[in-house]
Amino acid sequence: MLFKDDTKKSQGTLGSHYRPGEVIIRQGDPPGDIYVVLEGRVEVMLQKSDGSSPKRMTILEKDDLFGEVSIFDHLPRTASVYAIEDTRVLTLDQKGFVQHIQEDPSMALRLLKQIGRRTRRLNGELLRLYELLDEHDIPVPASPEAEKDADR
Amino acid sequence: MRLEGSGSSLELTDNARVAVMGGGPAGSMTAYFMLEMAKQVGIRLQIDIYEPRSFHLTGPRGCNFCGGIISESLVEMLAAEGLQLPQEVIIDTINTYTLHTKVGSVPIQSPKDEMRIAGIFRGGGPKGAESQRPLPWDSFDWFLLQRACAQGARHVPHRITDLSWSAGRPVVTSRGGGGGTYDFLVAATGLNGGSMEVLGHLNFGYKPPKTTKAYVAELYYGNEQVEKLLGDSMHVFLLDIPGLKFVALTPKRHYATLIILGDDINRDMIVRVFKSPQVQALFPLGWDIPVHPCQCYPHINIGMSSGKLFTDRVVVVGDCGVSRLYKDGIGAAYRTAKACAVTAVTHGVSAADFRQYYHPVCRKMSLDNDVGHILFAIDGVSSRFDFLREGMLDTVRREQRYPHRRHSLSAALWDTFTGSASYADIFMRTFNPLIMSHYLWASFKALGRRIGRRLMLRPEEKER
Ligand SMILES: Cc1cc2nc3c(=O)[nH]c(=O)nc-3n(C[C@H](O)[C@H](O)[C@H](O)COP(=O)(O)OP(=O)(O)OC[C@H]3O[C@@H](n4cnc5c(N)ncnc54)[C@H](O)[C@@H]3O)c2cc1C
Repeated sequence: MLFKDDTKKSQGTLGSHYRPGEVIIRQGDPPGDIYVVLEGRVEVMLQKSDGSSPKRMTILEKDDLFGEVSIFDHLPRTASVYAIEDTRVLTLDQKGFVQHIQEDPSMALRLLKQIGRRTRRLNGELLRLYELLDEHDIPVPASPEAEKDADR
Repeated sequence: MRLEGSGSSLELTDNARVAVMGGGPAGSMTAYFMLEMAKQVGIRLQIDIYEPRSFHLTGPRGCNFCGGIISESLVEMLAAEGLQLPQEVIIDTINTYTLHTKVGSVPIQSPKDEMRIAGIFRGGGPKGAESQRPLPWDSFDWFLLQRACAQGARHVPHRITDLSWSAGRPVVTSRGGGGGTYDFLVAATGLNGGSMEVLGHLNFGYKPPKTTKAYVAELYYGNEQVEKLLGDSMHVFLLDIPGLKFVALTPKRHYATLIILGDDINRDMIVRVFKSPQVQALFPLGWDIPVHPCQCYPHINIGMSSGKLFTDRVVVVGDCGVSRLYKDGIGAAYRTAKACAVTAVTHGVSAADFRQYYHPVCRKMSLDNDVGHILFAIDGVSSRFDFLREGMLDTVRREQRYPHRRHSLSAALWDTFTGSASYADIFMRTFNPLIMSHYLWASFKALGRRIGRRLMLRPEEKER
């Protein structure tokens, strides 16, 4: 038998393994690498500074990238990311990735495509929220950005 | 000699016909990215990939002869491109390099704590593995070809036997089926299919790149011995054998892939490698020279072609054009494939388009290889002085207490072996004054130790 006992520990698995509930990125941490989900699912959680319980923003699956915002704005991580199930993620070296985008700008298209997909989904969710507020006759609060724009 | 267009762009329009000569990594990835980009700009392309090899066959008939290491940077890029390697294709993973020299060994950890390098089989696996079908893995080249077909390419399982021109368009002649006139031809024949001569029939000034003969063998160890002797590490040997650049032994689940690179590897060099105590130490007990392994002597690209790599409606990608010196050849195929796809779909397929958008990518790789040649020459000289080797190992050992530092000799060596950075970047980092001072100080101490030991020896021992 040439290939007996074919189940070596980490054989054939790339990236890092996270168990359900383990944190991959912590909100407020300094900006850094980008990640790709190789297997499993992760949730993106946002917590307000008042200490209220964190809200789930979205769930990401295989092939989704996350942590990419920091390569654009160089600001601390805007949300935390936790594994929901047994998950493997691959780290994309921030410097190498930025260098690669410079050599091959079409790579940025994939990031933009993903950001575009998320914006669409967020717009949909925002619309649902407005409809809910409308139903309950609650006036829509102006966002701090919109107020700033109005002041200008 | 065919005259090139005056620079006006020849654009690929809806339903343009594209022939890809060779379905190795360069050909399949070019087709994949062209089709992906064509969707983005809203045109349909009809791409035929001519590939006669059956990648699910074991042994040389199904294989494109290579060490089968997917570099860290390529693993990253493929994942970012959405071309994630499936589980069945990854035979093994690596997170450490162990450097072996005459004066000792040292492991170099991955600067990031994760599995980032994959070992694959290009074809159906080593000769002999077919005795246990179904095989517990899939071919890497087959996976890429299938991904290109899933994007809309058509696989023509035949060899292109001739190329010619008709009214300024390339004409493909194929034994067995397919063929015809195309709007665009991508030549991705590699170096080992004997097809570079056929490319010459197009008379646009193409010349094959500089190559040298290498050696690859798949050695059957069995799972337990692979784990015990090699672990999750790729073993790199810097041996003092004239003409030898390096030797690598890579775990591949039940097998170990042995690669020997240097100036025209011959039988004598191979025997010396097999017999060297450093390599012997990692062979299963009692092995001498393994008899009848699955082995080959493929050509490897060591310098960009001095001829032209493109003309109107024709471009050369992958190994038959330019590659990276002694590392990450598949990564180089990815880069040329991507640059070719971007140029052809978003700019055009005239010689002027390729000169402006494709040539700089090839040129940059070629210039970087020149730096690589310098680094290998420096290593060749330093390999003659044991105290310099000892200094290198001592420096790496010290640095391994902090494996995440980018500015270290370990990180530079890691990048050299994994292909994660350009040779120029590695050069700049290695010759950084801080790293050099640590290295020279360690070498100086090693020299001192050697002189000290020599002075302590009795005269008759010195003579020995
Ligand atoms: C000893 C050795 C070890 C190596 N190790 C590694 C490594 O570990 N990692 C790495 O990244 N790179 C490695 N390389 C380099 C790597 O193999 C090449 O860079 C890579 O295969 C190039 O891909 P390609 O598609 O250009 O050519 P190839 O992989 O050679 O593919 C060319 C294809 O074209 C087909 N073809 C040829 N002629 C015709 C024709 N007339 N009609 C139709 N089809 C045709 C062939 O069948 C073949 O499938 C190694 C190379 C050598 C020699």
